[in-house]
Amino acid sequence: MSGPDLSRKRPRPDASSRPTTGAPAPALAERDKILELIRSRANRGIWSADIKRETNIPQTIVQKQIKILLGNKLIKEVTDIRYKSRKVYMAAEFEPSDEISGGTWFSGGSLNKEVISDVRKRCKQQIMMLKAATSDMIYKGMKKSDPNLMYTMQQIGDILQSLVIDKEVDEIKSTGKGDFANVPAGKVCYRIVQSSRRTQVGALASIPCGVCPRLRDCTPHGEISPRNCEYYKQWLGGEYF
Amino acid sequence: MVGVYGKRLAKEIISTHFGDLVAKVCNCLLQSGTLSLHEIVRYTDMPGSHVKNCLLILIQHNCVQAFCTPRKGSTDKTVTLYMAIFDNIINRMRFSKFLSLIKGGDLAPKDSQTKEGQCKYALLKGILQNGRLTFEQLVERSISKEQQTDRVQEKHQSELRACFNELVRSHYVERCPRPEPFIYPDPEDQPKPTKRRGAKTAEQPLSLEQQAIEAATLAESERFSEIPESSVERTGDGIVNHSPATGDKRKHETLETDLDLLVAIAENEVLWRANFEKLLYCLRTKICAENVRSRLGDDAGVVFEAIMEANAEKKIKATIVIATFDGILNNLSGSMTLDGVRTILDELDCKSATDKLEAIYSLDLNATLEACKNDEIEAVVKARYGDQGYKIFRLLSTKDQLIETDRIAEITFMEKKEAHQMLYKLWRDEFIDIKKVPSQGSGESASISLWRLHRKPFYQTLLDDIFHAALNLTVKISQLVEKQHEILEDDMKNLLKRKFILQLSLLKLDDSLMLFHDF
Repeated sequence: MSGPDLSRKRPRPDASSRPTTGAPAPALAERDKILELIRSRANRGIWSADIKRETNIPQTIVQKQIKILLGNKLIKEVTDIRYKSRKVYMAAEFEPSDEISGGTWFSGGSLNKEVISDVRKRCKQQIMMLKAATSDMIYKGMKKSDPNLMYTMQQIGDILQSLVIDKEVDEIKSTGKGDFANVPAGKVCYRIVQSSRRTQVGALASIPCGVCPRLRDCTPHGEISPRNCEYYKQWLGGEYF
Repeated sequence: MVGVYGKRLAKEIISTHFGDLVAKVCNCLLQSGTLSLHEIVRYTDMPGSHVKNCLLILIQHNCVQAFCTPRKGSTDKTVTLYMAIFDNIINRMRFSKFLSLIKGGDLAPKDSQTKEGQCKYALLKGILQNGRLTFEQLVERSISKEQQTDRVQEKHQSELRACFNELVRSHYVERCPRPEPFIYPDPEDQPKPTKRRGAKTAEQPLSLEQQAIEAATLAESERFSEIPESSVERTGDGIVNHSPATGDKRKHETLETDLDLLVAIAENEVLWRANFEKLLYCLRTKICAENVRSRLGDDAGVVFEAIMEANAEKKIKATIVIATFDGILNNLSGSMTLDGVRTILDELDCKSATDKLEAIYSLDLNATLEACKNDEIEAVVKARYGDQGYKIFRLLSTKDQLIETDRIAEITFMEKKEAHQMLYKLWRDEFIDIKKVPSQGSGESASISLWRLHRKPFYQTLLDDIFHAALNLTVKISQLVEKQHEILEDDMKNLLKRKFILQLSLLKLDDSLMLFHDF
């Protein structure tokens, strides 16, 4: 009696070509292709929809391969501050660029309000000490009091700009005299805004009409009128008024 | 250009002060422009005599100006037209502010009130309350308030004249304009003007109303010409001393008669009224000085007021103020050093020049006025939209250029989505403008949104809102006044307190009105 007829059996793949996970060769090739593409984007990362488009691999397979790569810690998922709803993937060996992470002032995809508040406070302290100071002087002062300061001049400039916008600090040209004695005349510098000015309430804003969403519909004898206005009643304190 | 609510506010003011009939005539002029008596009668459907009386009241209180012009289609017949003076109507809300400008007057702190100040206060109050008066009427008004002997009255009249002349010298009071000047409406028919006040260039034709105001206005020297002393008062003791020579005696007597005639005319026939231009100039100084004080400190505020006082040309609309250094120093109390004053002048961004060895400083008020307006607008934005809206508005206001959404979010430390939502709210409510530009690089039809603050159209919208709010406050005050007759005495104290709040709010809102309309 002879052995089984091998010619009628299905040929088996070569054992050396089989991956250790046991996945078939095309799947491995796809995974490698995806990994290479993600790596090529370095610290910018790539959106999952872009992976599908550039590799021409069906969406379901892309998702499956990404899951495996995540499991093997070859790639990581990061938040793109510009498009928070997108899934962006990056090779594990890279750190997200400032464009993706939002820079120094962002942490985990959100504004790091504590850090910002701390830097603002330190900037204001410098300005108060010097009475009037340029951004250069402020930066040097902060560096002097904290040699480990890890912010750049540009970043301190951003903070100063936000202080000007919040009206906590004025941006003015130095006259070279008085409070500005330490600053050459004509140079742009910063000075603390007096607290009385920060708490001023405008005339229109201090009455109900100033903040009323229906002001444009209001007429002296119409359905909406100062005579029967609910906001006036609350403001004057009492149903009678 | 006055908006709808400005006119409604003017009508409400006239109604409160003079009644509904006068308000109806005034409203007719405000809505329809310049009209003849016949046209006013037709539009208001009121009897001619009532309309005449209403017009007389409005003219008496400087709210209407009459003028003559050739009748259309006729060469020898003329027609009298009437025009409402909107600014003077709105000025009626400010009488208490005008009176507070009198130093040492009744509205000054008790310890700084002076007899002279109180006298000037009473004179100005009389003029404001009655619109226009002769000096004789002012004297009668003053005498009727106090029981005085003839001798005391004479001395009192002399003191009153001195105070009155001081008011005229300071330009708080002026002679009334011509009652019915004649003007030619067609430019070809006009005689060549010798001096045209108000017209900036020869090419810009003045409107009929502007021509009427200009024609009615007296020359500066006549407008502020004081009441001279009579010949009796000049000698001081009532005895006329003159040379015994006959020719000189006759000449002297003639001169005395002329002088006495002038005095009689000035006292009994010349009508005087408040000079709103000067009064508004003083209020503008006050408001701007407050802003300067809040930004640069008390000393800066004092120097600012000194510059405004030393300014020779006190025009309400002029934004460049010029003063000599000596003039500025004269208006300071002497508590500051020369260097200190110069330092503050630099801080105020005054430009210095020399004219005939005299140091002259010029100050551009635009920066201060813009700062005042910005404070007002930013307060409204903060109240309506919160801190986020405020930050975005401040950024667009300070940068004054188109800025992209992402950049706005970056500078203001805001999440992009929040910044986007807030920008659309501000745009929807007409605070800012949007410009969309196509986005480059992507194959899709995406666009980038750029944002900017456009001041001019925005200021007009805000001014209308201020007028509207002032109208609402006025209506609410009237409502409380009506209620005064209905409520019990126990509730009266509360009602008066609420009325006081509304009145104070209206006075404060009026400062904003002046900023955006008058200054």
